[in-house]
Amino acid sequence: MRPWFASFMALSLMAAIGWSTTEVSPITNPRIRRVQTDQGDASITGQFQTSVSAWLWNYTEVYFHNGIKLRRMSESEKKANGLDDGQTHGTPVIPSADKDFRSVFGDVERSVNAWSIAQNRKQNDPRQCLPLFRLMTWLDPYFVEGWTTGAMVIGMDYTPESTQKAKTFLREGLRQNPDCVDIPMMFGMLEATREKELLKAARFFKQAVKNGKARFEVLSENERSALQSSYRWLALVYRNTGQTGKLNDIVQEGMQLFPDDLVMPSTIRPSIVPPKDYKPPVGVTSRMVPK
Amino acid sequence: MKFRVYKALARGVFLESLRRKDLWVVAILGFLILMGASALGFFGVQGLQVFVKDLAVTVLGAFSTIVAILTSTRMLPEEIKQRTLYPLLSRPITRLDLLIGKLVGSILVTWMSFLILAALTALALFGFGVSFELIMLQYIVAKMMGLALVCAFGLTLSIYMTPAAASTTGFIFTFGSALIIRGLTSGYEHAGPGMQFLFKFLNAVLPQFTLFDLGGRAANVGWAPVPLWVMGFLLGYWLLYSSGLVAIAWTRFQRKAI
Repeated sequence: MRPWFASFMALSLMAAIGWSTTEVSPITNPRIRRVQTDQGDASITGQFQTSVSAWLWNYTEVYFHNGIKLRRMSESEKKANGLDDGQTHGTPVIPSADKDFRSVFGDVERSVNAWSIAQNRKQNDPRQCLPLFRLMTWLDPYFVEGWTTGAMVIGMDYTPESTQKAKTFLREGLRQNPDCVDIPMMFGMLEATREKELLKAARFFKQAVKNGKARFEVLSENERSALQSSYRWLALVYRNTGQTGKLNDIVQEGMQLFPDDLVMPSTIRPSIVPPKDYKPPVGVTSRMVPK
Repeated sequence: MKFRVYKALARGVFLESLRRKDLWVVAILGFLILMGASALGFFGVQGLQVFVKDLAVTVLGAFSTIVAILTSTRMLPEEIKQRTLYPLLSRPITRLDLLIGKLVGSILVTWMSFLILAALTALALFGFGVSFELIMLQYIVAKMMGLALVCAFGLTLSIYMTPAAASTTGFIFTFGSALIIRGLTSGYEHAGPGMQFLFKFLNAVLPQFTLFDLGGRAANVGWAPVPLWVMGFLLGYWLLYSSGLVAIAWTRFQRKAI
């Protein structure tokens, strides 16, 4: 028997066992939540999928700007441009001529690359990036941001068809990530704002709150923000459906986790569109509602 | 007279490349391109044309650079190791002629590999109905000049280092070129006067391989072709920088005990 035949058979056998065995998959290829592109998966295949998906995620930005590569502005750049507002701002990777010391080399680089003086104004339709979202979520189904941003892009037409497609996309994301906060929050938002189905929306916000509370200590910045939004939305839904008791409970619960929040207390202030049957709790003077 | 010498030497490099089955590497890389393309076809490329085009020029650039580095860094060390250099040098040619002839040969092998890969990539892209703009021609011309520069760089490194070290250094400088230049441009503003001088010096002496890559512009839609003066500058830079590299290589090679 030729030596390569034995190696080939051994590899084929291992591949066949690996292919047919699913029980070890959760151990060798565990689910690891990724909400940022710089957080990787623990397994090798997971790392590959995550890397490709992260690359696609970064690529959508380049695609959106028609090939112009951007980077984050430094603090000094933000100050110099009057954009010191605590937000993230982008600037082209290749500097403009007045900020480039390389003279002719800089001019040539700007000429051979996708670079325009119009910079951020030269933007493509985000819907063109849609296939990329489908590809990246297929490669890495646990990339929550891909699902939520993809759904926003799908539904940006505000037509009933696009809303349905966005919901279908989110449903798939939720099936893959049943314990995440962002996707049910987004789902609830679609139900509340597009479909005006407040009770359905409440169900999703409750799910987001439940998922968020279960992992509150280890939530990422994005997930915390989504949890806070879920509390706010849930409070609004309870207010607008006249469920005063639940409104008080949810605001109180939310304020315990996010004591600096300014939106939640405002939902229980009588001055803001109170339902007809709304009765302010006795003793309420400012922010907190006593139980 | 010299032209015939260079032609003969380049032909030798080309035949050696065929004998070593280097083109098999190109064939395997081309097969990978087609496999990747068919995988994308499986998911459908509706709306992904720009992405596919960008991916294609990235892969094409990476694979052809690999071929350029491997071809240019191995030629002379193998001639020395296998002692086939002696019969070459016993002929009425100078060591500079030998260097130039070898460089021309490696450039031809690299260009041929690049064109084969480009043809395969174009075939795959046409299959997906991806359209090309005029700038794609400029991309090919500029890339060929860039690959020739990579060959000169690899050949020079191989005079000073072992083949493994030369190819590793070559990979670092070719694939890291954009990163190095970005580091220089980003750090310049915050650097002191001394460091700024160093940055300017590094920018002037380091090979600017990224200037030859029009991929980002060619892959996206609606970008005008590059002005002619830029193509002229690239041509001048390639010839000047390659001449400098050959001169550096020759300085060492003419004194090298073989």
